[in-house]
Order: sequence, then structure tokens, then C-alpha cells
Amino acid sequence: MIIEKIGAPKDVWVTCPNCKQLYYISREFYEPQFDKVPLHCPFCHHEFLKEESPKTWGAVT
Amino acid sequence: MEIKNLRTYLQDIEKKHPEAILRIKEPLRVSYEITAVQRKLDQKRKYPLMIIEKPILDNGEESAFPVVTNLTASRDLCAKAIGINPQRVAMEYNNKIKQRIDPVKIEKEAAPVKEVIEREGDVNLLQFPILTHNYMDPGPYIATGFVSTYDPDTGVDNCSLQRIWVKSKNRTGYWPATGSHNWNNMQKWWARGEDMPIAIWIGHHPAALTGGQARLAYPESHYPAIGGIMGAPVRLVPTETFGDKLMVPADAEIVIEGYVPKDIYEAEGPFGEYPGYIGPQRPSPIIEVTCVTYRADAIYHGLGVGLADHLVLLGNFPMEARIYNIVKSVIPEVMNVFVPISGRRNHCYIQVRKTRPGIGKDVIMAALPCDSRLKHIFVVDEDIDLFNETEILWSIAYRSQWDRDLVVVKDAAVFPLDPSLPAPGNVGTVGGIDATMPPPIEPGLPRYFQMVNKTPDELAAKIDLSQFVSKQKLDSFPTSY
Repeated sequence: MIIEKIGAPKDVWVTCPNCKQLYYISREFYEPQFDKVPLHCPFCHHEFLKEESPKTWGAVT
Repeated sequence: MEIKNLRTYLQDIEKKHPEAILRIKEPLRVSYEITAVQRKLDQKRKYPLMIIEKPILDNGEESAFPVVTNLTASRDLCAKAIGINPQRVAMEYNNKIKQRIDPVKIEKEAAPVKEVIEREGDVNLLQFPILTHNYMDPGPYIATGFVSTYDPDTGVDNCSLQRIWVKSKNRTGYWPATGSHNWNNMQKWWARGEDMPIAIWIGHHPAALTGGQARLAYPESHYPAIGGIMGAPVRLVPTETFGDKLMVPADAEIVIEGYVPKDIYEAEGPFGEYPGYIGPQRPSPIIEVTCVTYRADAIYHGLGVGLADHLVLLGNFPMEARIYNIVKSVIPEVMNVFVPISGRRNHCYIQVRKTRPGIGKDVIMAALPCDSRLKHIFVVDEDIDLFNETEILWSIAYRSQWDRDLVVVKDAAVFPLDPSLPAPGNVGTVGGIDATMPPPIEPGLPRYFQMVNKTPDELAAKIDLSQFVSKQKLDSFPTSY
């Protein structure tokens, strides 16, 4: 995935599995030491693992 | 000994500049509404000091504590607060800070911030009118908290303005940017296998706030620098949790104490930051709060996050002073330095007396490493009003050729809060433009460059607009852009 101007995606867009709202997270969540840190939806405060995001854009694969 | 604190400052402004205060008596919610009013004013480039008498908490109740915000938004007021000329901050801030004054320790009984002490289960951060600032912020953020820690090797303390997400009555998120001095301390504590002691002080005289943000070496306490800017020693008092090992300003409004537990990370953010963009959610440490102390009638100092309030005194002034200090030592022709609100710490304008060829580029190269937040340096001549961005842009438009005058440095270390950076975001391109004219043909002669339009000197001196129009009428005339 190539993004105009910034090349590789800088942030990763996720979808909250509870309220379905979109927001973005740092790529640090894909580093081994942070891999299991739950995400926190800023809209509904639901906590979830990034793998539970129904749709994700820019993730490291 | 003269005591300076938030209250003495507010009294001073009430007395000397009552026109600069906007007192809001109507209820305003701490979630978004206070910042929304601030943003509307910011968009009109109006920066009154705001006092919100009836902040409404998220539970719908009126807070027992008023909010003061926009305390650090007006460049003129900020400069007055620390007794310097707003257009000579680069030089005069340095002079103040060089006059270090050591802090003094006072007894707990004499410390206003110890009027109320709440420990463990009695701690309730949610009682304070802590603001939720921007869309997508996950909750209330303390954006005016001076986070104090100490180096476990030397015992030297540090403080810095760092963001704190209040997650519950006694637990917060905390983001110390990588490489910051508090981050260094945290790494040392954790390497020892220990949780990091931490204390956060909120609400003080603007001189104390800007001194707390001064760019110092590591490890180096900020309190002597704050004393220098205040012109009086900071009164410190031991924390309840850590005693003399970690002291805090006795004249603050609120102090929060606790630990940063080793290797605990939780999601923090997204958070609208000073560049004006919403930064991503990050894995960040947390704070477990052990104690809160405060004045019985505490005033909560809120911040217009991402607005001028976030920039002028708390970042730009210390940056101007540091850049001037370093660059002037290399290129003596440097005359002044200005970090404008518009560039949100990424831009810096530097004025030089162009006595010899090439110094425009020397200035750019010397300035860039002075602060990791600097991205673009604009060097202009002495006839340009450094504080008038129209003149800066005019200078760029007609005194530069980008193939010749642009300096571009790829892969430099930069601060990560820039959405245009490539992933992963801590390395980027910095540079500058030398928008100066060539130096004089020889001393005493004109520059080898076309001359600027002007009215003949003797006539310009005779024309006085007040002969033709009153100040009131003049102020009412339409402007242009």
C-alpha cells in the first residue's frame, strides 16, 4: 500500500468492533512489546485487540 | 521575599489590564465547550485571558473550582508577565534564565498547595474541571501539568509539560515523548526494576510555567531557571509520597503524586496536539495516583490545546532564546529570532545583518539542530519586520531563488508530531531558505541589489497620519490581504 506523499502508511486506521467508528493508531502497536496492548475506542471506550477490528487500513502484513 | 503565583498574576492583570480579561459567568462544559470558545477567539486572533466561573463537569454538576485558560496565549501579555520586551524575547529571556536563583524549601504547614491532602481511596481527579479539548480525544486531558521526576542516579529533578489522560479517579495515561528527559528518567528507573516516582504540579505564575519549559541540559533541575525568570526563588515543598527526594512548588494550585509502574503500557490518545493535528493512539505508560494535594479554593489552569495558548510562552519563547543563544555564538551577525504561532514550532524566522556572503546558509545550518521541532528556517535581512509575516513572505518572494538559496537536509532526527513525515516518523527532511539580499558592495555603499520602493526620507518623516484621520477612524478602515 503506497500513500501519496508519505509513502508507506504512517498510521493504521482501525474500526471499533463495538460502535464501528474509525480512528487511527500508531504503528508502535505492531512492535513485539506492544503487540498485545488492547486498543481503546475514543468514541465508545470499548477495548479490543487490533485483530478484532472489522476493517483495517495500512496495517503491517 | 516576593511570592509569585497564579493568583498574584491574575490580581496584577485585573489591576493593570482589566480589558485583557474575558470573565464567563455562564455555565460552560469542560468537555469541548471551553476549548470551542477559545478556538473561536483564536480564529479571530483575539487572546484574552479567560476565567470560566461555572465549569460543568461531565457528570453534569458544576465544579467547585473555576477554570483559567488562555493564560499563555497573548505574546504581549506573556512578555509582560516575565518583564521582557515581546519583540526581544530571544535576547532578554536568555538574560533572565542565566541569572539562576536556587529554590528554597518551606515547611508543609506554610505551603498553600497542602491546604487539602487526599490519599489513596480519597483521591478523585474527576472532581477537577479538567478539559476535553478536541474531537477524538478519548476523555479529559491535563495539558497544563508539569510532570516532575528525578534521575535515580544523581537525584537531579526534571519537569516538563506533558500530556496526561485522566482515565478514572486515580489512574491516568501518560505520554513522555521518546528522548525527553522524563523519558530518560523512566528508562533508568525501569532498568533498576523499579516503578518511577512522579509528581505533577498544575497552576502557577506564567514565569514559573515558561521556566519549567526552558530547554536545559540533562540532568539539570528547572527550578533555578524558574527562579531566574521569576526574579525570586521558587518555594518548594516535599511531596507526601516521596518526601525531599521529589519536591514540588508550594505555591501551585494542585499537585498529583504517584508512580509510573514498570513496563505497563495501555492505549493512550488519539490526542489533538500542538501542531493542530490529531495524533494517533499510542501504547503509553500509565500513572497510579497515590495522593492529591491542592488549595482549598484551587483554580484549575486549562490550556487551549493546539491553539496559541499552547505555543507562545510554553514553547516558542524558550525556543527563541535557545536558538538565538546558539546561533549567535557561531554567526555574530544574527540580530533576532522569532518562532511564530503560524508555524507551530516547525518554523523559525531569523534576522541577520548581512555583512558578508554566505552567512544566510550558515545560519540555517547552525539553527536546525537547536531543537528537534525545528523544520524550516527563514533567514531575512535587517530591514524586514521579523514579526510581520507579510514582510517575511515578501522577502522570500523577491530575495530568493530556490535552486540557489534553499538548504535541504534529508533523514534528520525530527519530532514525531508531523503528519507529513514518512513512517515510522522520527526521521524527516529539514531545511531553510536564505531570503537575504547580497551584502553591500563594500562597507558604506549600497547592496548589489535593486533598492526597495520608498518615499523620500525627508518627506516620509513629515507625514503624520493623525493630521488627517483619528485613531478611532483609522481602526475602522477596511483591511486587505
